[in-house]
Amino acid sequence: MTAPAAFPIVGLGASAGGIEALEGFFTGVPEQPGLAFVIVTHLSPERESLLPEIVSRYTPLPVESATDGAAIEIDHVYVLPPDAILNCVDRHLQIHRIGHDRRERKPIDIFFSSLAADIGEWAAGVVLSGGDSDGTLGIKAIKEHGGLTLAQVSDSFGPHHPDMPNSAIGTGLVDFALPVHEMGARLVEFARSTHLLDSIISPDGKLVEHPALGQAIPEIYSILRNQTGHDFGGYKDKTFLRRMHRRMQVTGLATIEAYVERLRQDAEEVAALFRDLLINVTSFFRDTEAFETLATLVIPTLFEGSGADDTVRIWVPGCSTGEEVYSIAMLLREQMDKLGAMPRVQIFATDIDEHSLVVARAARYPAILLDGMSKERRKRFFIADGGSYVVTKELREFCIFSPHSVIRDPPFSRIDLISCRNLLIYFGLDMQGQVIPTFHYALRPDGYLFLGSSESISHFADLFESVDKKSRIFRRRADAGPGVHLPLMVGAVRPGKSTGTTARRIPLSGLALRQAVDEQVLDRFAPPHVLISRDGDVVYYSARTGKYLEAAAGVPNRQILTMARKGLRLDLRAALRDAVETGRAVTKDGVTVEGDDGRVQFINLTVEPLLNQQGRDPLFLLLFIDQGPILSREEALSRAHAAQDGTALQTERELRDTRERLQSMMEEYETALEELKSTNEELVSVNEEQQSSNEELEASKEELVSLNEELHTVNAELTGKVEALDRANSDLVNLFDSTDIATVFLDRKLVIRSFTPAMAKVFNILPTDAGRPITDLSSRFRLPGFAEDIATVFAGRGPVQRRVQDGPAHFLIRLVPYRDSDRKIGGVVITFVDVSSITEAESRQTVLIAELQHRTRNLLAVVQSVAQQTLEKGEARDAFFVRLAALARVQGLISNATDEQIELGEIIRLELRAHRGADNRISVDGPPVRLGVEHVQTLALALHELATNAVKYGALKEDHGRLQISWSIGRNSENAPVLLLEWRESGLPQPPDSSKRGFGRTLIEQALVFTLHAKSEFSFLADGIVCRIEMPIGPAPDQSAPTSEGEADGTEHVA
Amino acid sequence: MAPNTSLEGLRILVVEDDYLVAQIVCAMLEDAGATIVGPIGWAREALAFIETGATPFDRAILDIDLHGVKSYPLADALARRNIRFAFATGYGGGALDPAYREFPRCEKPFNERALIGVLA
Repeated sequence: MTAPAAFPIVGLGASAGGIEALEGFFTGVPEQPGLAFVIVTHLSPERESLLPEIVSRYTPLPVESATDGAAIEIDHVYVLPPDAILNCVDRHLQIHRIGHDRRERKPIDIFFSSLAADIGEWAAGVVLSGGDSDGTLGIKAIKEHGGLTLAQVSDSFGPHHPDMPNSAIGTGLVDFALPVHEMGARLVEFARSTHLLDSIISPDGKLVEHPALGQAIPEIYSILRNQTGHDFGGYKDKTFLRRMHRRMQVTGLATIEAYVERLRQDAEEVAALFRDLLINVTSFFRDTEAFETLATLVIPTLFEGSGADDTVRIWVPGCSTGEEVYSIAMLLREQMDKLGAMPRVQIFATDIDEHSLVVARAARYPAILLDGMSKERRKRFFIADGGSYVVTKELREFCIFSPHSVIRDPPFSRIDLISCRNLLIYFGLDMQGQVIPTFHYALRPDGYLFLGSSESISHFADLFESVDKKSRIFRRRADAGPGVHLPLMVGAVRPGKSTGTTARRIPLSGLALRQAVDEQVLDRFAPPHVLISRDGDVVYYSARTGKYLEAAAGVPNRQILTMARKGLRLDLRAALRDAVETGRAVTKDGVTVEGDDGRVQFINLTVEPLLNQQGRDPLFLLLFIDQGPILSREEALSRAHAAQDGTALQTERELRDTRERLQSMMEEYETALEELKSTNEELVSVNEEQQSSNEELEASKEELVSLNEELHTVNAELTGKVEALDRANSDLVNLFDSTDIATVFLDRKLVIRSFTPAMAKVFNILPTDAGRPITDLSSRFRLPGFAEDIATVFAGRGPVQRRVQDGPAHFLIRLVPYRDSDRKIGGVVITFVDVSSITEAESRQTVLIAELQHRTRNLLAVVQSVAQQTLEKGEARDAFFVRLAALARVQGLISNATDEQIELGEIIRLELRAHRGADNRISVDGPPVRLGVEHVQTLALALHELATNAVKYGALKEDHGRLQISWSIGRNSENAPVLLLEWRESGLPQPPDSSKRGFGRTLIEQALVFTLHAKSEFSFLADGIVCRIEMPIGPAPDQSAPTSEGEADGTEHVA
Repeated sequence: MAPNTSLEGLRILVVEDDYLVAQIVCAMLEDAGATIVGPIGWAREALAFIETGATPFDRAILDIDLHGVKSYPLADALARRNIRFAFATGYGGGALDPAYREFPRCEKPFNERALIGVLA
C-alpha cells in the first residue's frame, strides 16, 4: 500500500457551518498539495448535492462526488454523496447507501476509522465546524494508527458551531487546533515529512543508526520520568520513535536535538508526548483464542459457589477506550445466562488517561471496530445506531470506569480476575517488577491474572502459577511469602540488597588479613547487635542476640520492639526515638533483661546511627552490652537497693509501680494501635466502595445529561407544537368572529362549550355563558322539538336539519354530532343559518314561474285568436289549432316540472287523454323514465303527431285496432344510455298507406334526429304501422364526455 | 344605409338547435336567395365544421344557446376567420356576455327584413 505512489489522504469532517469552514480550508490549500481530500458532511441532502460545485469555487483541484469503487487520486477532492456512508479500502472509496429515514449520526467517525485502518500513518483527519461529537472516535482511530489529527478553532471562517471540533480537541488527541486557513500549509508539510520518518526507521522496523539518537533518547526518557513519573525505558523503540516523530512534525522541529531542547523547556510538550505514547490500539476480543480459553477455563470458576449476594470483582488496569472491558463483560454475561442465581458483577476499569475513559463510558463504537465479532454477540450486546454500535446498558452497568495509575495509586483488593492485556509491554522490567507483585496483592487467593500474548510474569513464578501458558492465564499462589511492596513503598530501600553490596566487596590482600581479624573480634568479643531501620524493622542480626530478643507470637515479623525481651522494650523505644531525632548515639545504662529462668541481667543499651548511609533512609546499630554476671531477682533487687536508704526504697517501689502501670498502658496502647490498623483497613475498603459509587454516580450523571438533552429536544418540539396550536387557535377565534353563521358547541350535558358571536342573534347569550347549560338560556324565538332533535343526534341517528320561522326571519337549524378523537359522540354542534333571503327568493321564484306560465298560455291564446282571425276556416286551421294545443300542454308540463325532469309515462298519458281518454284498446307499458325538459318538447310533439295519425287513419280509428306503447332503457353502440320507445299499431283491416309524408312524419324522421340525435324508424306492416324511436337520454355530447358521467346520469333517469 | 334585401349568391351557415326554428330560418334565407349550409344543431359539431373549413361559406347565423351550451367559441372561431355572422337569440341584449355585445344580433321570433339586413 505504501508503494512509491503513496501519499496522505485527508478526511475532512464537517457539519453545520461547514460550508464557510470548507471555504476557509481550501483557500489555504496550495495547488498540487501532494494530498487527496475526502469531505464527509452532515449537511441536508439538498445542500450536499450542490457541495461539489460550491467547493470547486474555492479550489483549483478537481472536485467530484465520491463514487463506489473509485481509486483515490492525488490532488483530488471527493465529496460524500447524500444518504450514504463512506469507507476507504485499499485507497479506494466504498459507498454504502442508506435510506432517507435512517440517517447516520456518525459518518465522520466511520470514514475516519476506516481510513485509519486502511492507510495508518498516511491518514489525516480534520474536524471542522459542527454541532455534535462526530469525528471524535475517528480522530482517535487515526491517532492510534499514527496519523495526523487537526481540528478547527475560531477565526473569520467560523466555526459557527464549535461543538464538534471542541469535542475532538477535548480528547487531547488533536495534534493541531488551528484556524482553517492555516491547516492547508500544515498538511502539505505533513505530506512532505511523512517520508522523512523512513529515514529514521528502516522498513523492517529497526532503527537506522543515527548519532544523535543514542544521546537523545535516554535524555527524553529521563525528562519523561522526571515530569510524569512514568518510565518508558521498556517501551519499544520503533513505537517510541514513531510517536516522537509525530510530535516533531506537530511542533515543526526538524532535528532531534531541537526537540529535546524543547522538551526540556516546555512542560506541556512533555505532557503531549506522554499522552501520545499512551495511545493504545485496542479492539474487541483482540486475540480471540486467548479470550476463548479465558471463557472456558476461568470465567466458570469465578462464579463457582457464589450466590446472588456475592460479588464477582474484576479489575482491568489500562482499559483505554473500553474494548477489553466490554469483551470481558460479554463473557461474564454469557456465563451468567447459564446460572441460576446471579451474583453481582463489578468490573473496575482503570486508566490514567481520563479522555479515554470518557470514550469508554460513552460505549459507542464505529462498526469497523466490531469486525470479527460473532453476529450473536453483536446482536445481543450492541444496539446499532446508524453506522455505529452502542454497548447495551446491561453490560455498561457492570463496568466502573475510573482514573487510576497501577504504579502510583494503591491497588484494588479482593479481586477475582485481573485482565491486564498489553499494558506491561509498555513498562520496563523494573516497573513490571512493581506491578506484578501489586497484582498478587490485589487478587484474592486463587484469583486469576490474564495478560497479553507478548507478556509474561517472567521471574515472578513464585507469585503466580501458569494455568494456560499459551493464553497467558495465571493463578495467584496462595502460599507465596510476604514481602510484597505496595506502590506506597516504592523507593524504599531493599535491606537485603544494601547489605549484600557491602559483603560483595572484593578483598585486597592487605585488607584480607584485617578483615579476618575484624570478623573474629566481632564474632568473639563484640557485643551482640542488630541493625534496624528508623521504624524498628530489623535489617541484620549479629550472633548471640537470643538473650535479648525472642520471636513474638503471631505472624512472623521483624519489628524489634515486639521481639525485645521483657524489661527491654521501654528503654529500647526511648533510645531509638532519641537516636532517630538527634542523629547521635544514645546509651541507656542499667537496663535489666529478664531471662526465661527469671534471672536478671543488667545491660547497657546503645543505639547509634550507622555511618556511610548518605542519601538513603538512615539505619541504626543497636548494641547489647552486658554489665556484670547474671543475677537472681533477689540479688538484683538487693544489689540495686544496697547503697540506698528507706527513702530510696520508697522511691524505688513507687517507680516499680509506675513502671508496671506504664507497661499496662503500653499494652493498651498497642491493642489500640491494632484496632486502628484494622479500622484503617476498613476505611480503605470503604474508600474503595465510595470510589466505585462515585463512578456509578458519574455514569448516571452522564445519563442524566443525555436525558436532559433529549428533554431539551422534546421541549423544543413541544414549544413548536404549542405555537402551532396558538396559531390554529387564533385562526379559529378569527373564524368564529368573522362568520355570520351562529354556531354553538354543546357537550353531552348540553353545557355550552363555545359559540360564535353570531349566536347572540338567536339566543340571549353572553360570552360569560360558556359553561352554562343551554337550557338555562332563553331563545329569541320558539324552537319546537329542539330537545327531541338533540336527543336524536345523541342517539347517533345522524344529523338533523330543520327550518324555523320567526316572523320575517327564517333559520335553517342543523344539529350535527360532535365527535371526539375516538369518533364517539361527545356533544352536539348546532348551527343556525339565516335563510330569510333564500326563502324570500324562493317564494319570489314561485311567483315568477306562475307568471311565466300564465303569460305563455296567454300568448298561445293570443296566437290562437290571431290565427282564427287570419286563417280561413278549414283543415289547415284545425291542424294548426290542434298542434298549438299540444304545444300548450307541453308548456304546462314543463312549467309545472319542479326539478327540470318530467316522467315519460305522464307525457304519453296526457297526450292520449287529449285524444280519447281511457281506452282499453291502448296499452302503455314501460319503466319509469324521467326526461330532461330539453327532450320533452320535441318528443311530445312527435308523440302528438303519432297519436293524431292513429286517430285519423290508424288503430284508433278502427274498433278492432290496438295500440301498444312500450319503452325500455338500453345502451347504444357507444355504451350511452338510450330510451327505446316502440309505438305499435295493429288490427287494421288494410295495410296503412306508406306514401303519405305529412308534417308529422317529417317531425319524427327529421326533428328528432336533428334536435335530439335520436334514431327513428317507420315500419308499415299488414295491419298497422310500427314506429321505433331510439333516443339518447344521457347528457348532450357537447356538455361532457359520453362515458362515465353519462352512465351516472342514466341511472338517475331510471330511478 | 339602405338595407340590402337580397342575399343572392351568399352561402350561409345556420347553427340552431331547434329543428322547427331552423326550418323557418332556412326558409327565410333561401327565399332571399341565399344557399344554406347546415343547419347544425350542436355546438361541438358546428365548431368542428368551422375549424375543418371543408365546406366554405360566407355568412353565419348562430343561435346563442345550443342544448345548454353557449355558442361563443363558434363566434370566436368565425371572428378569427373574418367571417361575418349574427347571433340569433330569444334573450334580451342584457343576457349576452358583455364581450359579445358588439356583434350584430337578431331576436326571435324572426323578422325577415331584420334577418336579411344583418347578414347582407
